[in-house]
Amino acid sequence: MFEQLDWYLMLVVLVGSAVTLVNRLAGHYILARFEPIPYRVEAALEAVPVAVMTTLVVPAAINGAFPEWVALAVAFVLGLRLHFLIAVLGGITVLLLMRQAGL
Amino acid sequence: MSIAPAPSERAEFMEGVRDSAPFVLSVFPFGLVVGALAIKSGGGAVEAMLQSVLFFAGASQIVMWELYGLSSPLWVIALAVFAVNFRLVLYSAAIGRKLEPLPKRKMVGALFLLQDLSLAVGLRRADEVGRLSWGYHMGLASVLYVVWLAATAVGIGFGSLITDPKAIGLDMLVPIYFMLLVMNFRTKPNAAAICGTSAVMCALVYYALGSPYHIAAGGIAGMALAAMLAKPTVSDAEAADV
Repeated sequence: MFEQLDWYLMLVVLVGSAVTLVNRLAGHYILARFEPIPYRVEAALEAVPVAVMTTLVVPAAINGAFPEWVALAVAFVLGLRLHFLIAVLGGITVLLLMRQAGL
Repeated sequence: MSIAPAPSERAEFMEGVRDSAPFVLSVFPFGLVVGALAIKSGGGAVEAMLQSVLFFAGASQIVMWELYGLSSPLWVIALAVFAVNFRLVLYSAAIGRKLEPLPKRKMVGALFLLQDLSLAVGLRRADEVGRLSWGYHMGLASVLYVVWLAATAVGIGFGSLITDPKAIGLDMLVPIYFMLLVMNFRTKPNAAAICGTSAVMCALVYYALGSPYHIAAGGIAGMALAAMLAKPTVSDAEAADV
């Protein structure tokens, strides 16, 4: 676990954190100075979480089979009404049960 | 101008700490996943911990490990992290205004600790009390930061114990987590259409070109649709009249 540091990976982490810090500072120090933001730009920016995070779910649905689809569906239905954590646990529990059963 | 002195920074800090309590439970599991995923993706404990210390932005940390695991080039990883964290630009613009005026050093510290939960709670506080103090924001955000680091550390420990990620469902934990995060935005304008457009474009590119281009393609398609469907806000309409 504590073997030789991977310098390329350290670089990846440093570049990623620099980019993240730029995001955190740019809003207040740059964007807030250019108001009003064009409404189409604002809508596009607001769509970022949904548009980007969706792409992290799609490959799992494509590569998955029946147990993975059911797990996603169960988590989806639970997530409509119940707490986030219950939905996660529910989906994973169903997944593990189906894998155990060899489905 | 109020004549009464502002509540002391210390008292404000403690109020922020108190108000962080309900969110500790939602931060912890996310940190666990990040720590475990880091080890599973071939990261070391030091790099994984450093990432949580410097990023403090879970979704982008997961994306970084996914792409690193796929041996994506550095610029693709940087672009993906930037895209996933772009919402922080909007958060920063929104909360900076409430925190002003502040010395630059304090403002940078406050913005470094800014994430989804501290934005939501901070804006609510500003609504209720009429102001958002630096002390309150720091009290709230520091607790979440410490919990985040602790959860990452535990996740790293777990990650090195896990030999078969599939046996505990770790391979599906991340997609389920993100699906539920997306669902949190379902009341936003056009959320379903944006999600659907992103998903279709993502699937097409995933088949045609493969990973990691599906992330950018889906993201851009969803953003383009949002821009096309957007309607001018009231203030824009007024500005246009003048």
